[in-house]
Amino acid sequence: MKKVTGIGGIFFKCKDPKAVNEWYKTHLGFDTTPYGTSFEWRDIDDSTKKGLTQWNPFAENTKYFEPSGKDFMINYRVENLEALVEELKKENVTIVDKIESYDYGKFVHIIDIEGNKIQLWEPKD
Amino acid sequence: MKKKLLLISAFALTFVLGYAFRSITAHDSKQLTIRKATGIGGIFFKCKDPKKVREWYQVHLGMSTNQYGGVFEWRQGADSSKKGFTQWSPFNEKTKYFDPSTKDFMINYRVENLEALVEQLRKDSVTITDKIETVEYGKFVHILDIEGNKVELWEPNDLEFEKLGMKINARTIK
Repeated sequence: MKKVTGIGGIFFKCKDPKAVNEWYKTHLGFDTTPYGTSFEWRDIDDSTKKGLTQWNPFAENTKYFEPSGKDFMINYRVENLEALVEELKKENVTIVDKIESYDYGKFVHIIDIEGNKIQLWEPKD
Repeated sequence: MKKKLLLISAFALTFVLGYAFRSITAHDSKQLTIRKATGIGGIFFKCKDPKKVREWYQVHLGMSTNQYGGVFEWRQGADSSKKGFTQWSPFNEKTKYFDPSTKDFMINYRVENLEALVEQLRKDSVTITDKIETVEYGKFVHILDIEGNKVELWEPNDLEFEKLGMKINARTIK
């Protein structure tokens, strides 16, 4: 079973997300909205399929990365999240929440071997 | 009535200012097309035991890893005939590679014209922590963002980067 296929997002804490957003827009030409930006690319085997990698600064007091105490969280794109979560459960990997479905895909959060919270995303691009 | 007029003029002012601002920024972005991060070139993060972390991601999430981490392979949004790569690497927590930033991560951004961009950044008084380094798979430099995060900028040579991966028989993640 194919599991992780790409980087879906990189999220990091900062003191002032608005100022950080502005800085990356001004100096590195990021096309930012108030929430961050997204980088667009295409699937390696099927170039008609678009992929997006989200980039978002978060306020340092966010609880979104908990229970991880790290400054960052990575979102990985996966294929077939339901089946993967079943496998991870059998492997005793800590699953933090239940799979949530939105218009743009399914999400779940797990903890890696060093306590980093990671987000798994089965996208509908 | 007075209140209504005031409200209308406030709206008008906002509109004019907004328009002016948009024109300025649109003009700016046209002039400064060298300021263009085109993608994420890498994600690096500290951990206690990079080897175990690489193994964990390989076993549980099916990511092909080697001694340097893993490489995501994709096609460029602007020209899908061209490949692009994103390096993923756990680093030992004692690494000095992210210094002077004390954060536990560093992001690498792909850029188009590093020499010209660095000249611009210098004019902007952005802190540039080293000199541009040229290797066969591209040019690199490190800068600090507004909050002291060290940022790696990479003008990639994707063909050479791919060759390098083939040389060590590395499978990509896709």
